[in-house]
Amino acid sequence: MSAAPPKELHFWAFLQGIGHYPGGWRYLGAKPRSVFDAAYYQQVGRLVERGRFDAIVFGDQLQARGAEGRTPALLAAPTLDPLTLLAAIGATTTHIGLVATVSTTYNEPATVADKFATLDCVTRGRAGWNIVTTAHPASAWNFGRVALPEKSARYQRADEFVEIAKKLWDGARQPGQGRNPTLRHDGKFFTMEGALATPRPPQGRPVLVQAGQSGDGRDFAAKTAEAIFCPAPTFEAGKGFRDDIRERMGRFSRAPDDVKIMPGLSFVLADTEAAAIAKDDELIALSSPELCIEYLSESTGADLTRFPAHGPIPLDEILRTSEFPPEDLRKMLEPAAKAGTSLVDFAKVYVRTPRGHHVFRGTPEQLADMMERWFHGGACDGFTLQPAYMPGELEIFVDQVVPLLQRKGLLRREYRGATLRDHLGLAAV
Amino acid sequence: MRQTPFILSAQIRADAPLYAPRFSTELMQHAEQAQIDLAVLGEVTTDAATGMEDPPTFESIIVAAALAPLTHGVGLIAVVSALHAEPFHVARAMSALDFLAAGRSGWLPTTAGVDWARYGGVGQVSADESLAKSVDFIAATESLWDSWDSDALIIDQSTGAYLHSDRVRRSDYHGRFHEVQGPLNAARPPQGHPLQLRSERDLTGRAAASSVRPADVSIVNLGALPGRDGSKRIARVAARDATPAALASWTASFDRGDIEGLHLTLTDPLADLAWFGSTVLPQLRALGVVVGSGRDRSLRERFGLPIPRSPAETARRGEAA
Repeated sequence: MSAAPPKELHFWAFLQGIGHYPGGWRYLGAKPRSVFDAAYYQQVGRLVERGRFDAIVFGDQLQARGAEGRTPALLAAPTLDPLTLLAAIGATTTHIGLVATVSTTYNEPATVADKFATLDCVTRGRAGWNIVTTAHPASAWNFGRVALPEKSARYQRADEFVEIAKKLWDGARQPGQGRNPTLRHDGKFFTMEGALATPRPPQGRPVLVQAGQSGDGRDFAAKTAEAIFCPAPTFEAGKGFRDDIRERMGRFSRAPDDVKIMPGLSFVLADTEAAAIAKDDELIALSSPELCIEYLSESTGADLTRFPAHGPIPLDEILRTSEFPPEDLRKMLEPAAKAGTSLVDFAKVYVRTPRGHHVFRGTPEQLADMMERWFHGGACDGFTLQPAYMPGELEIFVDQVVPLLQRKGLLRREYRGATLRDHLGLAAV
Repeated sequence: MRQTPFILSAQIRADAPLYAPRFSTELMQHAEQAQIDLAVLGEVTTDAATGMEDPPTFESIIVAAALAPLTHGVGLIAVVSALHAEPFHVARAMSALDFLAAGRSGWLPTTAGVDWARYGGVGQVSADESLAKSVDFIAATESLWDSWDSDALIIDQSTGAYLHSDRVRRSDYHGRFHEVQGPLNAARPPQGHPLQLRSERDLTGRAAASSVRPADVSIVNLGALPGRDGSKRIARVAARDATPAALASWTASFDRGDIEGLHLTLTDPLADLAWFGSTVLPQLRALGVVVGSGRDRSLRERFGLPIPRSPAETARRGEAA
């Protein structure tokens, strides 16, 4: 008789560019040139395996950074294509899961099914797919002349897209068992007749991950996802989100434990809380006023570097030039614009809370305690760690926080399996 | 003694089990020992009995990326559908591959191997339009690499200057089949453009130089050598046909300047490459041919090809000179 797997924290490393803070690439422990170098990713891969993480996850965008065609001069802009990069990381690691973000709006199901099946095969069962529908209106112009579809239409397409991909994976034969049988699909968005390119991948299917926040997104996640990445600025927000998803899962006849809720967590660690706050202030100060305005430009879809930094927030100009939904822009900017906040002052505040994720500042002991509290309180199943800068802050986490959690019995000391499904305690498909 | 390197390329067929890490790792070990410069990962072949194309069993760029850290001298050539793939996805993935393989990457855009039924006919064109679409695809992809200049990045931690904004720009590519705004969200690859191969079996490889800009490297047939179009040439030969007489003939073609090397087709990839490395390679060397030199260099350097600059960078540097 086998015992139930112990309840333990799950860790994912969200490795976007050179860290979570817009100015983090300038910090002493950051290695911003390394992000183009295979050896760097090999080191990071081995680091997170030492920390017994489940996976590395890369976000993705299908448009360049910046606004109105102007690429920022101060933000660490280019990154390597996630799927390609994860395949290379897989070659020099043995356990870490590899989760790539891929859009269902700007791909075809058979293409994506082949890509993840190949990634799963070459990494011996470590692939995961963060399913996104692409929200940035400028992405559309890199794929033709048709504007980005509205959100609920994107989710309807995503739903059918994933259904076809699953059909292709599930219909594939084991290696050496001959050609895959031809499958058919005739739906609202797609018709398909064919088979998966590869034989059946080791995990059967990649682990399906989602990050939707809206009602449509949450329903899609509750129906489809095996792990969910979300912002949770507070314990209450995390618990509220997790409870909501678990409740929605019942509507799709799924058991609540079939999904892991993995809120994003940025962190700045030091030997004392005061030192961590000072370090955080130092990191924030690396974001110059000009950088803050470039960052806000990207987030509003309007090139704000053309406006006086100490002048008013040019709300009307932004609404006129940006392709972003005007209601989102008004919600974000109108209160500050009405209060007479200057462009640069607003931009500086905005940079402090990028993307609404929780930012922890304190000692390794305090972070371990906080994680225990969130985990036992039902606010999460683990965390998607977003280091303020890379790789220094992640090294501190693995060296100093991981042993504390292992001593508390909250984190595995050794991997118990070799696939990403094994690490997540998910049933084989 | 000849000084120009004799290039060796190997065809790994689309139906080879490159998805299997044990097979692909062993294959690359043989390729390294055989001093292979280019491994073409997934050339579409036709079944002799049925006349049907063998369907690919893997996604080529992902396999190439997985092999990059496990190889040091073999160039990794991804085979990409010029009819179905999206320029933005390909330009970006190939940029990553060229960085991860430190200039050892290339691509072979192909008009073969598309099973349109798998995509419900999305993007399908008639046979008459296939050449035009593949030329459009290649140009759109290159326009995205050209949205970045080679000297765009600064990355100065002390001043906070990351890049020159004016050295990155939109592509605004408007073709008949592809429209791409850009800029690409990936830096210019180390080789400028990854090495581009074309096959004589493909529409683009057979097209006249007047209808398509020449590739960097063309796979050609020794029996039907086309006129020089500016591309380097490797001759398609079967590895198993490498008899002493054949080797003498092939190196004579090389000496005449007809070809820069060979593109070896393999019947049994592992056995053929192992045999080529252990038996044929010493014979080639005995004929005075330089093989396996410059394996630490980029693929462009091995062929003596320049690193292309973006039109904007060329103009800027021209003005500055």
